[in-house]
This record gives sequence, structure tokens and C-alpha cells, in this order.
Amino acid sequence: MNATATTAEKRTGTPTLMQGNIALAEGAVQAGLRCYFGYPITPQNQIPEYLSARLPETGGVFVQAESELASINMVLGAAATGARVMTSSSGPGISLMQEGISFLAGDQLPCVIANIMRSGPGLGGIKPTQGDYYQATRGGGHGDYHTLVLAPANAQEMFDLTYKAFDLADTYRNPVLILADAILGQMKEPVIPEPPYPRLELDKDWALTGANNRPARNIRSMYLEGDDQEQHNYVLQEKYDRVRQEVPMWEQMDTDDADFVVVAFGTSARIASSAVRLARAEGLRVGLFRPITLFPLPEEALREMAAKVNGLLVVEMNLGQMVHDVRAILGPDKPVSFHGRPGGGVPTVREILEKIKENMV
Amino acid sequence: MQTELLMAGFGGQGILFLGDLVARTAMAQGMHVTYMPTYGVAMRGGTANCVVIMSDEPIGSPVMNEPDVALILNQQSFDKFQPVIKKGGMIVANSAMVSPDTFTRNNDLKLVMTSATDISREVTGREQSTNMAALGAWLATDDTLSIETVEETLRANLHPSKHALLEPNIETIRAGMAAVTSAATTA
Repeated sequence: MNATATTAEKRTGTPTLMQGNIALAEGAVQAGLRCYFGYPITPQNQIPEYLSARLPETGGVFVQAESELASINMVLGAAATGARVMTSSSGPGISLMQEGISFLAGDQLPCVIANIMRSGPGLGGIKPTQGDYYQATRGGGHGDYHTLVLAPANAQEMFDLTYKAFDLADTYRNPVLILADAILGQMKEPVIPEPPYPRLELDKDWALTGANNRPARNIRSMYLEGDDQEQHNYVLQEKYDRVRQEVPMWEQMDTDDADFVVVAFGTSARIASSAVRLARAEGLRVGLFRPITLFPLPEEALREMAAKVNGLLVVEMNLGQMVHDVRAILGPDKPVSFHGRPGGGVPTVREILEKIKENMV
Repeated sequence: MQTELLMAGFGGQGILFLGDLVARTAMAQGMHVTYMPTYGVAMRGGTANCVVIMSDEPIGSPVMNEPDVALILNQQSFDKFQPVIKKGGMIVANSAMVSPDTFTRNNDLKLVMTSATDISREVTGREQSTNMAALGAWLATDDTLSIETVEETLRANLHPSKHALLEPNIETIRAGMAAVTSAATTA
């Protein structure tokens, strides 16, 4: 399934100039967000600031919790009632939430978590990075689980993918992570802040809504009897297999006749797209492949595209994370080179163009 | 056609407001646009900058690359950004705070000095519209944005609490334009 990339110009409606963080927050409101729990951290503070005013207007609940640990466990409690809930944070805050995210995955509870990445490790800085790719795509907490991971690359996608994240969370009863960075959060672009399609309304026959003459329901991640825990893990894995089949999203630019393709997500993909355009202007047959879902990565589409090219260059704002997944997917025979800048460094268009030329031979 | 516009000055000089206005105007004219504010640790009295990219095609990188034009309101920003402006580009500089003697790229850049702070003071009695005077100077030398759309955009987006400043701001933009145009005529 290839959901094409969404930018404001591909949608009908009246665009308004919106900051990425605000577009993300409004996308959540339009998706029917009922409860937000969070704790402040730069560079995502516009999300709670906006929702603190906006959610009460829609009858929703906004809570600034005392910590990230409290936030994620409030998310767990509210999600168990079947409400659409979210939190947002950045690097260190997301790390603090990992225990709760593991519980949400084990409990099979839907929620949306936005990580507007700041440069780490540790407290790090507030500049943009993609250093949390591993944490996001490996689950992040303890146990054999995944969160779905969506990587927007423009303000319209901050809106649209957040809107979609709630449907995916409900469909698969699983936490969905929005993985963006300080550039995508702080930048303003035209956005059509209207739902692209009606939101999914599922009957949540697992939600804790008060037993009221029906048999009691039980949401848990701990199974002590026999091989129940093992069986529970098979249930989760079967779900991730479905996710791998049904959810992959990506965008391709100029790949049809390409000899060489750059693979990048989010902000890196935006910068790489400018480099690809410059390369094309010089007559080089270069394309861009942008995964929109990072878990699941669009493996089949990547393989199919890569079969037609001589080599690839993965560009990331870290020192090499997604590149290892790309190499694992494509196997040892396909040359995959890498260019990255860590800790708040942002690759330049020229830098990427040079790397393309260097590795294209 | 793509124009990368850098705006820079002291925090408090309305750089981010200016960038927002330019971006909204470009959007109203049907262009693709990105607005990227200063990102980093900033405070009042420190430097602030933002980059707006306007294009008739979808925009790739929203990050500052090689600005075609810079509107610069103070000396620190002038010193910092003069080297990165694209060859053949232009700097509009506020003469109240930038010394033309520090201009070192006579060979490949155009420099437009505008007395933006003085224009603001003359028109509004305050210095706060320096950003608008500088915008006017650019509008007078470039046809990417029309003054009519700038005015409409300002009217539509200025926060209600600031409406008393609407007409003075528009007057300052026009005075900033007129100053450049008359200088060109006398030259």
C-alpha cells in the first residue's frame, strides 16, 4: 500500500500558515483527541501550549502532569477507557516514558506519542536530530514489542499523519509514535487543517467502561499461568506481521529512471530532495526514496526500487541507524553508502550532492 | 524561480514577525513557502533571524542554504551573514545600526542602505516599525511580493490587540519603499 505523500498543494481547501507543532496538535484534535497528558520540554512546547487552550474548547481534557512518568501512565489509564489519548515530548522525556510505552504495548492499548527529537544523548541540546531512530523502531522499552512509527516531512504531514496515527492505533490496538524533529516542529508551512477522510469509529469491545451487568473486562500485560505469556507474545507478533503487510507508506521522487537513489526520512529527506534536484540539473540520474513509516519500513517497495539502481546513499541526522536496516533489507550485494551528521548537525544540500557524486560511480 | 530571504537583527526588532508576514504574503500570492525561525538559545537583546523560501515549485530543504536576499537590521547580523549571501544577491541594511564601511563584497553583492530606524521614528514616532521600513526597501527593489498583498495580509493577520499599529505599519512600509525609490531617482 502506497499512501502518497501529502502536502498542502495536493489537498483541496484553504491553506493557512501553520507551525509544524501546531499542525500536529490540531491534527490530533480533528482526529477526536479527548485527553492530552504531558510535561514541558523544548522543542515540542507549542503542542501542549496549543492544546491547553484548544482541547477544553472541544470538551477534551488537558493535564500538565508532574513528570513524563506520570504523563505516560495517565495516557495508559485513559487509553484503557477507549478514549483517544496522546502525549508528546522530546528525547530525554521519551526515554523516561519507555516503561509506560512497554506496558501500553503489552496491554494492547491504542495511543499516540509524539517525539519532536532534540539532539542527544543525555540532556543534549535543543537542535534537530534523528538520533532516536533506533529507540523508536525497536520498541524502546523492555520486551518483544514495537510501536508503529510515522515520520512526517512537512507541516501538512504533521497534521495528516497525526490524524492517521489515531486510526492506526485503534486498528491495531497499539501505541503509534510520530517521529519528527526541531525543524519540522518549529517550521511554518501552508497547511490545510481539515480531515483528509472521516475518522475511523471502532467498537472498542475491550475498553474498561464499567461492567454494568456485562462480564468484567481485564487489561493486563502480566500472564503467570502456564505458557500464557508466550502465547500473548505470539498474539503481538501476529499483529506486527499484519502491520508489516498493511501499513507501509513511502514516497518516491525521480526513481523511475534512476541509476542511484538517496534514502532518507523526515527533514533529511527534505534536504536530500534539493540535492537530488541539483543532481538532476547536472544530468545525473538520481532519485529519492522516502520512508514515511519507519516501523514498518516499506521493505518490499525498497527492494523493488533498489533492484533497478546501481547504488544507494542513506542520509540521516545521526551517525548511522536506518542505514543498517536498509542494508539488512537489501543484502550484501547492493552498495549502500551513508552520510550523516549527529548531535544537532544538519546536512547541507551541497554536502549531500558531493556524497551522491562520490558514491555514484 | 525560488527566492531565499534571510531576515536578521536583534531580538525585539520584530524579525520573526517580519518573516511571518513575508511568508503569509507569499502564500496569499499562491506561492510555495517555508518559514524557518532562528533555532537555538535566544533572548531579548541577542540576535534573531529567520529564513523564508518562496517558490513557484514545491520546496525541498527549508533550511538556510544561500540566501538570495538579506534584510539586516544590526551590525552583528551584518557581519555574520554577509559572507553567506549568494553571489549576485542583495543585502538591505539598516543604516542606523550597520556601517557601510564594513561591506566587503562590493564585487558580487548589491548593498541597499536604508535608514529604516529613522523612517520608523519619523512615521510612527517609535522605532518599533524598523522591520517594516526595511521590508519596504526590499519591496521597492524586487517584484517577488506586491505591496498590495503585503497590506492585505497585514490587515488580515495582525492580532486585534495591535490594530492601532496597523495603519502606522503600512505607512512605514510605504515610506521605506519611497526612500529607496527616491534615492534611485536622485542617483
